[in-house]
Amino acid sequence: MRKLSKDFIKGNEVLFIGYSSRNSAYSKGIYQAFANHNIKVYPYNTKENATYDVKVYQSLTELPKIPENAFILLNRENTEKAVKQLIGRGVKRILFYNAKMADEKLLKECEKAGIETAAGCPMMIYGTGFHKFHGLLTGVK
Amino acid sequence: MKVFPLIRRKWSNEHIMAGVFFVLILYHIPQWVHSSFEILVFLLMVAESLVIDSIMNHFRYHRMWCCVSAAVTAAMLSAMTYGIPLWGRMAGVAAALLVGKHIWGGTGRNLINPALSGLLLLALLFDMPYPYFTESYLLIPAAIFSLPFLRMRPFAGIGLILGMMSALLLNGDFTLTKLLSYGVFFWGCLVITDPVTVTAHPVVGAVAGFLAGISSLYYFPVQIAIVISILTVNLFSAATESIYKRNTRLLKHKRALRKIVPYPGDKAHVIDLTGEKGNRFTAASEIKEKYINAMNNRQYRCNVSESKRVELSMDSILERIRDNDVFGRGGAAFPTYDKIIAVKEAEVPQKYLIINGAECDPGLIHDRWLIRNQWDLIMKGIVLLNHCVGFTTVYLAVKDVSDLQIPKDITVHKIKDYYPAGAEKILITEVLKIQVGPEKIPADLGILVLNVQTVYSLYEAVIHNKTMNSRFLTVADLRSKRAHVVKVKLGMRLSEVMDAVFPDSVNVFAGGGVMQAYLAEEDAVVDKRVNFIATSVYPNYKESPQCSKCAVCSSNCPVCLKVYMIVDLVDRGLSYKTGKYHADECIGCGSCSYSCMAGRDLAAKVFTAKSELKKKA
Repeated sequence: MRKLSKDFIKGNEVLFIGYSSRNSAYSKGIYQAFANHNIKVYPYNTKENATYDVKVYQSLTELPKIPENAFILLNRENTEKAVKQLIGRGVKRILFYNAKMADEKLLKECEKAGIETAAGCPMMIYGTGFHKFHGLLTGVK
Repeated sequence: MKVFPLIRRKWSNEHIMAGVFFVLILYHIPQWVHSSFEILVFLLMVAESLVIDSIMNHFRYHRMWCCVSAAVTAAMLSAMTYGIPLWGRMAGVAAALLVGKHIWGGTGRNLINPALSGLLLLALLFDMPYPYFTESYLLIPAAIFSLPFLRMRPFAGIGLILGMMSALLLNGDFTLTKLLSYGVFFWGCLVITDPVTVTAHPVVGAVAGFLAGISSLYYFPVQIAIVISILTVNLFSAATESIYKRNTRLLKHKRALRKIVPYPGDKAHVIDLTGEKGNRFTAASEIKEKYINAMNNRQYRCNVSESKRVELSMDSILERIRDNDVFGRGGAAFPTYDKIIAVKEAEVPQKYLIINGAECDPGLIHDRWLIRNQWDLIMKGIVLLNHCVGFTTVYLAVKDVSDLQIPKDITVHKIKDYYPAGAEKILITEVLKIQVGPEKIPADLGILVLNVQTVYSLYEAVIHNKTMNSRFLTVADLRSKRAHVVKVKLGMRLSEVMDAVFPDSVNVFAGGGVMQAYLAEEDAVVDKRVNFIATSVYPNYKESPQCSKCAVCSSNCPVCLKVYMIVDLVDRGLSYKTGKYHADECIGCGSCSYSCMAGRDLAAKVFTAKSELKKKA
């Protein structure tokens, strides 16, 4: 798994798995940061009866199309489930919020399926202010 | 649907507090010249304040953040406590933040100035320097840079400065060094201008400030006097704020919002996406048809044989207006027929027609285009209206009267360039100098206000007997500041319109204008209320609950609501109590969100309060 870099996300669409209603400010921040860089975001969360400011898809079949890029903001257990769902559905790149979310076994599965992986908060690339500074400190370019 | 302005003020409270902090550093220069150890003391005090603030905010909001205001409190104390032992100064900072700020609920909720509460404690425990600063010309830059901060609470600040100057005059001490050493500009520009603890009411602020200034230097010339005086002003301000439910001074303080620079050459042409003249969009999509049928419940018709001017009776004109579904194009989408009938039936001696060409929203350009390019047709619409009602005077309200060729029987009223000058009741006040109360409608007074495009569509509906399922709107790219006038059919997908004008746009917003927009969903369509479609970056509103009560939101509210008080109640889950601040009178213009110095989307909160009151009613 590589460190997040500017050229990791290709194209202008990303599937945001784990768009949260509980931590809505942060999720919204990431959503807006992508969108402000002309990247169309498909927020995804399987949770029922949650309210959001934007349209959030509850199943992959509901999506108009599966983007080539996916960003995952979930705990370790749910990350594994989400990645297994994505394999074989046309996703070519997965960005994990941090490196601890995916173990070696899962990464190998991704590699076998031809999925490129990276870890890092997208705000370090697409955000502003302190997020950029955070990116600078962690060497995200 | 969450509606918000797409643009907002860049300046925030944090920027202003950073400026205050810089000026406070200048006040330290004489100390630092005298002893360089004081720099270390200053840094320690600032670090302590930030740690305490972070811990307290973590308890309160479950987020580890600290405010610049905490550093300002420490810097203020550091400037005033030269000569006191370090432990005492550190204790002063802790007391200031815990007792003066956080015990009340944190930023924006404290009744008293935190720095002054710490200073009061230290004055009781230690022998404080008097006058407050050493007599030194090194304080001149600090005094000069203090002056801009008078803007926050100008009346209280000027009152205090005048009070202190009067005292110095009466004492025979009126010299520059005395002004500096007694900290006249320090207290007047930096301390009493704290918007959280000092009232925005001009008369109360000025009188209280003057009394505080003169009493502290003339009647009780001791160090602690100014501290107690300003703390008294703080308590007096809190009492005043609770008495005055509405701010009645505010109508003079409306501010013009910036105008988007339109795309060069857009005045000369319009992009037609209706397909009526064989343009790109010839086939209506399924969703479009569905929408049109639902809204109009009839088929689109345009009878060419009736397109010539015909002699119509008053009843026929009104019938066509009703049957062809002419509605208000300004954003409210109210049926025009109902409006005309209400004015027609009003029993008043004089009746007025105001053609609203104000286009006050800074993002719109299509009304201006219509007035300059379709005036003949608009004029015919006015003639039809006049035939039905018989107006005493017809006004055309516009911001820009240059290159207009309007007949003499229409009175052109040039209105000031501010937002929201085009809101119906505000426009009536501007043009006719008549106040229409919240419980009244303009029709009761015989006043009909119609948007320029409504009159244009009225002409089309009556003369061409055409169902009104198309409209002009502004399509803009706010990133590159380009805009076009576009004619669309009602029911077209917003994304379809955007793709035709600005292809590959990701963030699509729509609404009444740049000040009242919402994020458009994938399948959203052009409905009756859509005046504006745009692609833009998100305005990045903050979720911070830390309002500093600067009252800029209230200053910009066209209906003089105490927005910050309403929002405070909403934040505390007490929306049902907002009736006492007249939240139900909000016109939803979004000026408060645009101007909020804490970067918050206040309009959304007021909307919540308004909805709650409606439910309750």
